[in-house]
Amino acid sequence: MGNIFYKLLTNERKYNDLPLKVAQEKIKRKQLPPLNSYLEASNFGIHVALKNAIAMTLQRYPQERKSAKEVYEYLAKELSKHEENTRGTNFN
Amino acid sequence: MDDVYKMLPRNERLHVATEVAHGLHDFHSLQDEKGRTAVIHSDIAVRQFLKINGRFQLNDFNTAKLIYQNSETGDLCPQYVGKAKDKVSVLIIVRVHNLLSHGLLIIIINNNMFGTRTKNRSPEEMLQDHNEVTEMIDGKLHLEAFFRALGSIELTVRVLVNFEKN
Repeated sequence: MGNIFYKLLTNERKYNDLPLKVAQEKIKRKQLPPLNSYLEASNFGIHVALKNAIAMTLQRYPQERKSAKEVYEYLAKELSKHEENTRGTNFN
Repeated sequence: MDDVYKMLPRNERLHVATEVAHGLHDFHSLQDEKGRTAVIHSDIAVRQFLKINGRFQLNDFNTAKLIYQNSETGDLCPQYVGKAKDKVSVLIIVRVHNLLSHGLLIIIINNNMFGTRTKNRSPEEMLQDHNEVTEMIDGKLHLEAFFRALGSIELTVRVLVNFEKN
């Protein structure tokens, strides 16, 4: 799930340019390639929500990973905040 | 879905991420009696989410794995591919978000939940392995627990019961 969020955030596959074996090892270790400096520093709501969702799912140890339910609840809350903000913006 | 992603406006991406998490949450809501997830998809990837009627929906369950535990022994239930040989078998074909291009067939026998991979077979084809359909004798309690678990989630369930007499 974290890989999908990464793609939604960056438009890139996480390990696109790596040889298969290296990519597999990184996947096992849940190692993320660094985000570009713009996304890394971004405080834009959608970027922050996706970065947090990635962090929730790509923990190396299973006990530290959030469940799909927790991730869904977090994203649904962020989405509703975002939609509320957008509505406010449109009315102003 | 890869190409669809690239065309998504920035504002839509949070919406899609929420739908992806929702689909997986629904699937993981299939739980055992202790509330533990009983099934995992095993192949979550961009290509497994199809855009249908404007929504991204989880699909392709042919590599799903059961991690359901036997409630008496605590052992993980085995996965069978093919014909169940016990006296009683209950076949439950689960459609997640009304999709069954690849299905997950779940069979409950006594305290065990068995899974088979269906590989693009229709429910009717899957049933050809189970010829005699008679009446329910056993396994009722487990079925009820299973339905309670299913009751709260967005699944359409088709139930087919098959009892093989000795």
